[in-house]
Amino acid sequence: MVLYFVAVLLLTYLGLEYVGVQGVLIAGLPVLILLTLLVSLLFIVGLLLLAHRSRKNRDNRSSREIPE
Amino acid sequence: MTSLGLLQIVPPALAEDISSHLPQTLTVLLLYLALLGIISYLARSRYTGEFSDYVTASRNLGWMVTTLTILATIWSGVALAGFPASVYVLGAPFMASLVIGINIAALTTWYLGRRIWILGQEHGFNTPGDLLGGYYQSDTVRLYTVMASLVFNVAYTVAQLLAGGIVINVLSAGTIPFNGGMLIITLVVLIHITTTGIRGIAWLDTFNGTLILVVLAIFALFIMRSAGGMTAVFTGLGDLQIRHTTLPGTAGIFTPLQTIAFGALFVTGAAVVSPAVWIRMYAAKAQQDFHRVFVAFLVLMTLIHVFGTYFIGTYGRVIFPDIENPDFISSLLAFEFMPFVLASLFLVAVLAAIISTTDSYLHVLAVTVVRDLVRSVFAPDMKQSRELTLNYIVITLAAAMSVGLAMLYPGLLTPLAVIAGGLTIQLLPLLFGAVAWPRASTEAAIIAPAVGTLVLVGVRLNLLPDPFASPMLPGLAASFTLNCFLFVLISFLTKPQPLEQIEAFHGVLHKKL
Repeated sequence: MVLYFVAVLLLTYLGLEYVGVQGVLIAGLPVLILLTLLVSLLFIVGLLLLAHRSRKNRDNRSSREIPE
Repeated sequence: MTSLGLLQIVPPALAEDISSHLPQTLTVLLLYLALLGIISYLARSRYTGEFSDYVTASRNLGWMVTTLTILATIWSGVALAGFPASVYVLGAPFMASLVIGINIAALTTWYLGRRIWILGQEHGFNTPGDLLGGYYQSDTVRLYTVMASLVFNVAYTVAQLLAGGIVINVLSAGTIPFNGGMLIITLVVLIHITTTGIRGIAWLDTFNGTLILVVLAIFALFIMRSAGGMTAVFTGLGDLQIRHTTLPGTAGIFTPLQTIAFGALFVTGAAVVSPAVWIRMYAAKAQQDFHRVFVAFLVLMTLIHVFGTYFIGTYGRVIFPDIENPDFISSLLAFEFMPFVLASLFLVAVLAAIISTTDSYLHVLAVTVVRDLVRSVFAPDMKQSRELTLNYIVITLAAAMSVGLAMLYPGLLTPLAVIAGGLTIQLLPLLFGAVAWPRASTEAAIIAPAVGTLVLVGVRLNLLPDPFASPMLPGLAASFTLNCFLFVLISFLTKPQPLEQIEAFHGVLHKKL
C-alpha cells in the first residue's frame, strides 16, 4: 500500500505540473480543482483498501488462534 | 477597541443591513445559544465527574461523533472566514494545496491514530505527554509537549476570541461591544467545559459541525442559483480567470512542490499533532472505527472546501472585485444572496466554529498542563479528584489570560499563530519513533525538536536564512527537515530504548494491529 500512496503523490505532482497550469473548465470546474477532487478520491480508495486489508489480516489471525 | 470602531471596519452596507434587521439576527443568535444550553444539559446528565470521563469520555466516542468533533475542532472561525478570503486573494491553487494537505494529513492521522488509540487503551494514556514522555522516559520530552500545547492552544484560543468578539459585535449591530462579545464566548465555553467534560465538547462539536456543513451547502446552492450555474462562477472572473484558476495562482507563488508541501505541513501541524486531535484519538470507542472516521472526514472536508469555501471565495471575487478587507467576503456574499435569516445563520455558524475550537483548545490546554507538568513534575501522587479540580482552575486562568491577551496585544497574534503550528509539527518525528521506529532514542527526541524549534524561531525573526524560502510559512520546511534529519542521525549514534520498553510499545502494536 505504501507504493500505492507514493504513486498517488507522484501523480499529484505530475498533475499539478502539467494539468494544473491549464486554464480549462471541464464540467463547469477548473481542471486544477478536478485534479484535486481526483486526488481526494484516490486517497479515499486507498484508505478503504487499507481497511479491507486490515480486516482480512485480523480475520486470518483470529482463525489461526482458534485451537483445532 | 470600541463597538463603533468595529462597526467601522465592517463594510458599511453590511453594518447597515444588520442594523435594520436587528431583531431577526438576535433571535437566531439566542436560538443557537439556547440549543447550546440544551446540549450542555444533556451531556451533563451523562457526565460521571471522573477524570477519565472528563478527558477521554471513558474512551467511548462513536465514529460519527469522533469524525465531527475532529472536523469542528479543526474547522475554526478563521477557516470559515479566512479560507474564502485566501481563495479570493490567491485563487484555486490555495484550495488545491489545502485539500491535498488534508488528504496527506488524514492518511497520517489514520496511521498514527490507531497506534495512539491502542497504546492509550493498553497503558491508560490521556495526553500526548503520557505517550511521548512514557516512551522516551524523559521529563524533558514531556515538557516539550506542554510547551507546544501552551503556545498552540493559547495562540489559537486568542485568535478565536478575537474573531468571536467581532462576530457577536456584528450580529448585534454594535449593541454588544467587542470586549463584551469575547467575555460572552469565554463564559459560555467555561461553563460548558467544566460541567460536561470532553463528551459535552464532542456532542456540541457534532451539532456545530452539522450546522456548518448544512449552512455551507445552502450557501453553495444560493451561489449557483445567483450565478446561473457552475461555469458562470468562473467565467465571471473575466480577464482574471486563467490566473485565478491555475498554478502558480494570482500571486505567482504556488509551484507544484510548494502546493503539496505547504498543504501537507500546514494541515499536519494543525491537525495530526495538535493536542486536541491527539486526545480525540484516545477517546474513540474502537480501533476499527478509524477507517470510517478518516474516510468520512476526507469526504466531508473535500466537499466543504471545494463546493463551499472555494465557491464563496471565487464568486466573492466576481461580485466584489475590489473589497478592502477580504476577511469579510463570506459575510458580504451571504447577506447579498441569501435571505436575511439564513445569512444571519451563516454568521452564527462562524460563531459555532469559533466556540467548538475554543472549548477544545482550552480543555486540552488544561489537561496537558496539569497532567504533564503539575502532576508529572511536582505532584506525582496527586489524586484524580484533585487533578480534576486543578483542571477547572487552570481552564479558568487560561481563559482569563487569553481574554487579556486578546484585549491588550491583538497584534501579536499572527506571528504567534504561525510559530505555534510550526512548533507542534516538531513533535511528529518523536511520535513516529514511539509508534513505528524502535531505533528512536531519547537523546534524539530531546535534541532534534529543540534544534528544529530554534531554527523556526530564528528564520521567523530573520536571524537565520531560509534555504527552502516559502512566502507562505517561512522556516517551516527548513526546521522540520533538519529536525527529521537530526532525529534519525542521533538515533543511529545513540542507544535505542531498553527492550522491555520497546516490547511495551512496538510489541503491543505488533500484536494488536
